[in-house]
Amino acid sequence: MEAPSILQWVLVTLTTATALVVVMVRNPVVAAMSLMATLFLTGALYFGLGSFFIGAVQILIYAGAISVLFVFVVMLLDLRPFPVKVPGTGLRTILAVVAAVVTLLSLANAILPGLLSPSHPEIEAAAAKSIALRFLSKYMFPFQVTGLLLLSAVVGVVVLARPVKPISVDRGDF
Amino acid sequence: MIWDPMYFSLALVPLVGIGLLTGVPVILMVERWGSAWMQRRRGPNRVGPYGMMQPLADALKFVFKEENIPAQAHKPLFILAPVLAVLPPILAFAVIPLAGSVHWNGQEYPVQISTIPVSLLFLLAITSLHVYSVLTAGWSSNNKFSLMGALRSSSQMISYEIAIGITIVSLVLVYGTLDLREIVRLQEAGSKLPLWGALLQPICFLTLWISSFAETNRLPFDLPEGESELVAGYHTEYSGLKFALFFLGEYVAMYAASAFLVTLFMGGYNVPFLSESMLREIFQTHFHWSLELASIATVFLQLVSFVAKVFFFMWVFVWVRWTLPRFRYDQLMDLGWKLLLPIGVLNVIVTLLVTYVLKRGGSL
Repeated sequence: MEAPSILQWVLVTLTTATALVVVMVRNPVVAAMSLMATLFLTGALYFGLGSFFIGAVQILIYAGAISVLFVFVVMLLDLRPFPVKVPGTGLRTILAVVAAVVTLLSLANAILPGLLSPSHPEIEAAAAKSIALRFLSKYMFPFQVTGLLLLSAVVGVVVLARPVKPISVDRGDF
Repeated sequence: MIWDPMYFSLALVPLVGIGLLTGVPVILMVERWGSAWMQRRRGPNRVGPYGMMQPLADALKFVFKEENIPAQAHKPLFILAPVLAVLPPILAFAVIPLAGSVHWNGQEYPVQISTIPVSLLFLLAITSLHVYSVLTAGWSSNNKFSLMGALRSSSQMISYEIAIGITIVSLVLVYGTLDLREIVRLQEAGSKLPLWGALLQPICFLTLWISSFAETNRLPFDLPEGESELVAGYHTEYSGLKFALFFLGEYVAMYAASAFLVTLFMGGYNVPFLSESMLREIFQTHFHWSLELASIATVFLQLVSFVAKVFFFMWVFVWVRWTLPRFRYDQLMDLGWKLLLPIGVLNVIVTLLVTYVLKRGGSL
């Protein structure tokens, strides 16, 4: 594996910076826009690694479609910047720290072996064909289950977003 | 090292940029003359011969106008939006094959900035980012008309993108590749499928052509800036150079859409009935030119052919704009969701069946 180029370092820095903006900025529209930037730059990183298919799909689906909906909804709702809330030292903070540590450890567990051992397996150039073949043969079941999961999420959102009491519309006054 | 194809691609970048920036005033003049001709007006005839200096005068006016930023606008996003309007359509040209390849010193230099294997997907991905300029412009202006225009535009662009995404599957099924250069080569005379994509997949062609009007926000689908309802839509609050960038972005997007249609459906850079190797052979045998010179002449002819085809589509953009009235919003949505999308799905199913049968019969 060759050493990352200057361009890759710039991309990594930008990706991290925009990702930080997403969680640190109070204005929801700016957060949504920089989420888009993060997803786009992640796609650019894939391009730098030579997997063009994943990169193009990343930009097409995440930056081009999903975060458009985010920005769209946030603008439509016209959310005000969130009020400042000083975090206390309650149970919530402890749980948050635990969750952060666990996420970090599992990430390290996934990434470090590849970085430490110099002889990791050759990364297969993820061509569209090999991905499609795998999705439709070996990983058919997880693929379909993911679809079902997304469907149930959509149904759940509809249930949550519905008002508890039906709004009575008085049409008699017209 | 200097003969590395990468340097050739890098040298192409400014050339393509200059070509696009020269193309915008040209189509502006064509649009003004064309509209005047269709409406029996005289058209521009004051600035320079035949009014040809009009785009330059417009540009100077844009430069000297006051740049107004509304007091309650979100300033960073307000400034970012015009930049986002120009970037994606220019980036789209990075993967469009402009001509065959130049042979020099036994090396082959493809006339295309980036020859990535999934250029079709890249093109779709980059053009899908065009929505953000409209959305951010509309929201950051803090103006109700701007926001209405932005919301209309984004829902329109997303709806038609779905139609485009579904329809394009049938074309990919026929060609069996996502590489635009490969797609152009398959449309070459004397190849496996010596037919233009427009003849192989006419329904796909028409659907994409109609959708490209909606994607570029051109009449009859220019509801985001419907001046009779929304003042000027998402760019109501913009003036000076920022407005000029939106203007530029619209015309470059038209070029990108035309180049996209040419590449997929009209044989790309190919000269009709003459393949690249045939042209090179003609130059070599009849003019006794070297391979280098012959390949350069071939590339030049192919560039001319490409530009001519692009200008055909550009002219249709102008023609339609000054012929058809604007759609109503519900009509626009009905066309996208209730007509183009089902037709696209049906087309994919039929194409799947036909390619399956042909492949079983061994004739493809």
